[in-house]
Amino acid sequence: MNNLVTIVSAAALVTIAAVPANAQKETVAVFTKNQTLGPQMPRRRSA
Amino acid sequence: MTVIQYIPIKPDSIPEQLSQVEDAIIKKPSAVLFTPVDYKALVPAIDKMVNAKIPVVGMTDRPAGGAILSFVGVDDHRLGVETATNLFKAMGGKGTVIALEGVKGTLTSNDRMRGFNDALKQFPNIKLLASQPANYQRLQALQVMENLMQTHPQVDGVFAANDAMATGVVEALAAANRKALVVGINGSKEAVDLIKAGKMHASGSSDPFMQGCLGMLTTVRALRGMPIAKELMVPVVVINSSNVKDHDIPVESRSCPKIDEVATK
Repeated sequence: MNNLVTIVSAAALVTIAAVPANAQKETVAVFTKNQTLGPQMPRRRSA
Repeated sequence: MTVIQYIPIKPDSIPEQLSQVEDAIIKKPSAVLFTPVDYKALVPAIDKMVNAKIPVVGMTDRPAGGAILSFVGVDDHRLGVETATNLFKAMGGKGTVIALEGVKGTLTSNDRMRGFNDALKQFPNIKLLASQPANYQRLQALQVMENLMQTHPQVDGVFAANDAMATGVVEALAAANRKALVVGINGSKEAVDLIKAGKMHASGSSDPFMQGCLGMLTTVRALRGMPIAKELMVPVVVINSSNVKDHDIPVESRSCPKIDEVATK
């Protein structure tokens, strides 16, 4: 399964904890890129 | 506070992100923190959000236009210079090097490669064997590296414009039982693990965690009418064996600045 969570998006989610919870009606939409490391390579036999 | 997160399923898919912007406009969030998948093609989407009275803060990839309130990112040219210089010094200032570029025409790849080439000018005894794109993708980097190793029997160093490509290079070298010093950019967990294992020399950290912190906090400051900086850049740090312990920290153990601590100038 590909890892679709970007490093930046993970960080953005963590930052929610840093925002004071005094504005419950605030909604922020966070757009990130998908920087997956790509599919795992099949195992190779040693040379 | 509620956060709606939009991540394209397909890497760098412009149609998918355009569709996500349409969805966001319908949901009408208080503000948007926006990293475009393409710095030119998404400018009209930024305009559309701004016209819908949604304040937009840019992050990581600076858009070519659009009325963003602030931009949070890193100096990619400086990242290229510092990371390449670290590699060239580790090579003793001599030998052969290969460069793997990101997506052609993207700002980050252009700036990082410009930094690489500027650093290379300072090391006249290092010879550039090839500079080819692998589109920031691990699998493509592996394949490009496999081909280049057939042409070049001696490669002393590899500069990859991101860590995903560096990972592919490390795999290609291991499969061919060859050795070279490999550097990437991002300071990702994968790179930190490879540096710890001695399989990768260094990674120029763009500190994506801090970009996320500053991006989100700047966005919240903007929507609350607090002062914000037009531009916030995270410092450039090159991670190698000498300081890898300082950067081997799980995301859940890191902390962001407080909202009042975010620079406004």
